[in-house]
Amino acid sequence: MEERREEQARERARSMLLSGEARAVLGLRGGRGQVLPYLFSRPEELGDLSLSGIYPLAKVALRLLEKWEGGRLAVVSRGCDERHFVELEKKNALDTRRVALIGVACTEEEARECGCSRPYPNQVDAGHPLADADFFDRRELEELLGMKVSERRRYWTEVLSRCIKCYGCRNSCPLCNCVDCRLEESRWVRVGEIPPEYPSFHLIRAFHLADKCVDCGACERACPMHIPIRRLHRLIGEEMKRLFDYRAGRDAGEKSPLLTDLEEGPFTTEGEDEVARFMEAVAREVGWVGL
Amino acid sequence: MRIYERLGEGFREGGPDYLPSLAVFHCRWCFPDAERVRAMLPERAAEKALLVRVDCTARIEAEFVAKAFSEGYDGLLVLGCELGECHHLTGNHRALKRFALLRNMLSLLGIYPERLRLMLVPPFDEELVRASISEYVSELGELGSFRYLG
Ligand code: SF4
Ligand code: SF4
Repeated sequence: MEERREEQARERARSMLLSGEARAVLGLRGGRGQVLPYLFSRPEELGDLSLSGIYPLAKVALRLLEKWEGGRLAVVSRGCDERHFVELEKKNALDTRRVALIGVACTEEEARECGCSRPYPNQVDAGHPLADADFFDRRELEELLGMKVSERRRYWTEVLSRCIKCYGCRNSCPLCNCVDCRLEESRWVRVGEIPPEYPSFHLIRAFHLADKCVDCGACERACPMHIPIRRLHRLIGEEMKRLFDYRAGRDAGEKSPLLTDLEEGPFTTEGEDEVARFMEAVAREVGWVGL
Repeated sequence: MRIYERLGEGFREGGPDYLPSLAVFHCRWCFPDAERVRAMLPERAAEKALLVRVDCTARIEAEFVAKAFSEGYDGLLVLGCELGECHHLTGNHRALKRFALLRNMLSLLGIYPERLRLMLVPPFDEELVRASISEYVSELGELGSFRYLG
């Protein structure tokens, strides 16, 4: 089964290289006791192409495309990788004409390990999509949602006080790719101090990713202090769905509601009710009725 | 921890006579005059309020909110034009959406969302603005100090 999936991916890669559809293939190379990103440029090398690792390749692709003159790059992509590319396209961070994807559906074992809600890309070239399967365990979120605000304050200040500001979460995230990062500016986050003051660092990062995070989990895997950052992103992602019916990574044509006006990107009925409630005092007086 | 060391003057656990510290951001098109804004705040809160004039409510980024709280302000208030009146046409639309999300994010991170308030109000109706602010400030008083309570 696994061999078959790998063979399918290699086959697709080989034909892309041979037909000139892609000049090189970015994937993972195994067979030396470790699995690492590798740029396959000759069909003979593809025997080493491995699917036995989960690695945010979009980050690597982005760097490569900056340096690389011309040519098309094929990238071996799982569901989360494909969603990274969707968000990168929205951000205009890369020229999509220069990228082709080789879609890989995850196995049940992989999906379970990642706690993935959609373990396959739209375009599948290798493996079988586990459609309608959701492996995310919401219990950890329920636990947080069930807390009082002050209990959450205690939870996060405790957990976040472990942060050593290594920037691993930012560096691993394919969607954290601004040239000048606010998290390095002393105006917003004190320099030379750990842990970062609550809530600056983590609130800023979380907000910047609110409409982009595709819940791949790379940040959490990278964190040496085992801070459950993905939990926060996941909760915020659910807010985006609830307030705006928006989900990052779904479709490159879908604009972030944080960048549009109320006509183009309206609130959901539930979101509208909520806003009406927090604006209520004012609304009552001036006859402000909904949006 | 730092936050406990930096307790400001007037620190109490909260309650009706707790004096909250406010960061107020006001849009330059409807509330151009900082001193006039200060005059609309309840008297004692006015003294220690930080006033920042911005070009549009949409200028107020998540960074401002994060910084206000990490600096220990108890509340962040935004005064801007009503929907339809924005000088930049739809800047306040964006602010409204951003703040709706930010309030929920604060709550998820353990900060009372009531601490963040966006008021899109008619600037000429001073009485209304004054009343809304004073309601907000007394709510903040009930919540107490951010440094202490969340
Ligand atoms: S889960 Fe983390 S690494 Fe993945 S997209 Fe979201 S913020 Fe970035
Ligand atoms: S990876 Fe973890 S320790 Fe490093 S900056 Fe991010 S949250 Fe802090």
